[in-house]
Amino acid sequence: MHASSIILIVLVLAVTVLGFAAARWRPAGSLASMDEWALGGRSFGTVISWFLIGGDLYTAYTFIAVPALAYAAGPGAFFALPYTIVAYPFGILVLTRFWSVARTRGYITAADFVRDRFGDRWLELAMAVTGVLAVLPYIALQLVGMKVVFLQLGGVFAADEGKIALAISFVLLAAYTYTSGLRAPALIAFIKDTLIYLTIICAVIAITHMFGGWAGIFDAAGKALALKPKPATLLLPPAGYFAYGSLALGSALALFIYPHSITSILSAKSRTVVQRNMALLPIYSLMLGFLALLGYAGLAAGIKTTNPQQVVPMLFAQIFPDWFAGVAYAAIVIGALVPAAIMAIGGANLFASNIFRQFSAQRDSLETRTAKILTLVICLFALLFVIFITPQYAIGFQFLGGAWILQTFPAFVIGLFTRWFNPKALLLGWAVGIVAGTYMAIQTNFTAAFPLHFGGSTLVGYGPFYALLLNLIVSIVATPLFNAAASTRGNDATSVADYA
Amino acid sequence: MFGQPSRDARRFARKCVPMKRNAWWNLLLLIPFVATLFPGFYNRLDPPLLGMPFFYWYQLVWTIGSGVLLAIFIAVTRGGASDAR
Repeated sequence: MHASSIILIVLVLAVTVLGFAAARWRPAGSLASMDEWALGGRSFGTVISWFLIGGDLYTAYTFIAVPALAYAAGPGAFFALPYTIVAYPFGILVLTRFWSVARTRGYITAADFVRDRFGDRWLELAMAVTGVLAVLPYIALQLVGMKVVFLQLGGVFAADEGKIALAISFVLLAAYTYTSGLRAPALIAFIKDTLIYLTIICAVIAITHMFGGWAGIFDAAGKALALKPKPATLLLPPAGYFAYGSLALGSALALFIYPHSITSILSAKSRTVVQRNMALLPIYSLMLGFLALLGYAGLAAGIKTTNPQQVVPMLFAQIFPDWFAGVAYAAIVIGALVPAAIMAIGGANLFASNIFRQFSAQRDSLETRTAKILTLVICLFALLFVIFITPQYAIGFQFLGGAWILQTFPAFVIGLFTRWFNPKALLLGWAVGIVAGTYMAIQTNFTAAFPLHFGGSTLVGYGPFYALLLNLIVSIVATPLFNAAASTRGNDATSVADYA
Repeated sequence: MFGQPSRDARRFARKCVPMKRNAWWNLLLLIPFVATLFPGFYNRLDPPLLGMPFFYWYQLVWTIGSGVLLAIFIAVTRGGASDAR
């Protein structure tokens, strides 16, 4: 067995032990309570939250997919930078408000808030179902990221196309998430991100050394891009500007309304912790930028593969000694386990709190038991998804999930600031947005660029973003109509002071 | 509508929640959006930095730049009731 395989096994086992031990880490109350199991007792300070939220948002799949896109299509992949730059100024306004009202009123999901704010059971259900559907394929994608590494390692890992290794990793993940709740990924995130930062820094040093600086890498990458079946350059074509900007903005608006983002944000112990993290998390974006550049290094190193997702592991195998490649592979595998655990918890919370029952601040231990069992079900579902369905579908579904989750923006995000919208109008807007987003996704074969025709011109942009605009228009137009049709609407259980 | 804003307004007055000191500081948060969402402004090769075309290093610098802006935003808006917890 290679040194890289041994190192990977050792690190994954260490993380598993840590995952189970996390149950006894900083315990404040019984793990049978929802706040303790699902939100780590809402007790995490700036440093723990930074690792947890960073480990949650910058997933293993991102580490595989962004460089893969740079390798395959060039500068378009760098939309990941504006995306993860503008997410934080947006987040600091929205999430601090949400954190405060959630702490005061005891919310653990976005649907809890919407229920309390608008007093509408159907809107709560729409929010919850959307969240669950959006998070499931996202977990599956983490498995896709792990599979790429297992295939690169070969041997026992690649047995049966990596399915056995995937199954073992995910059973372990499900077990310690069940036992320790959010404390498991919080503790593991330290290891994950230390390994990730170490890997990227070493990779950047290695590649700049290999090619005598960035100029050599860009030069060679530019030449390789020109030879692609769809030739590209180091710069965006002007026709792609709007797609680049709208994809970045649409993705940024969706980032923090995903259930797993909500889960990790609500585990912060204070509003100040949330604020500070918005200023500190962009460090991860810088790292992501260098990671995207590894796609160019792959081009420069002359890596040839029909599956661009293999580029990063292939590059690691080429530039690192075998044992350090093992560290890098472990970083990706563990990097998949952390967000997968948080996603499973976030999805399970929605099921337990908003689908099986309605939101109520008096949570009992039955709700925690339901959520724990659902975590296992969600992990199993994601595993079966990846084992029995081709990865291409997982990617397509994840794109759809992004389109869907964005449609909860008006009720959740705008709802944090105003109650002007009628809940039935929001529900109608949501439904129209879901249908339009799905339609555009199918039309574009699950790619980001949808050509919108109006007048005589065409504007190519991010389909889900167009769907959100449509959703907003419908919600605005329908609000006065629904208000006129019925004189009563649900009560607002929150008060202005709750948001401060 | 239908009486909603005024009820909120009354409730607002009753609870007497202090406003953020200066809402103009929110404009700081707009800067990263303007700077990065319009690639037409920075889709250039020159001037390069350490061999990296402008398009790339400009966006990399903005990751840290937006973090610094957010830190300034937090510092200048501190002191309102919002930071009590």
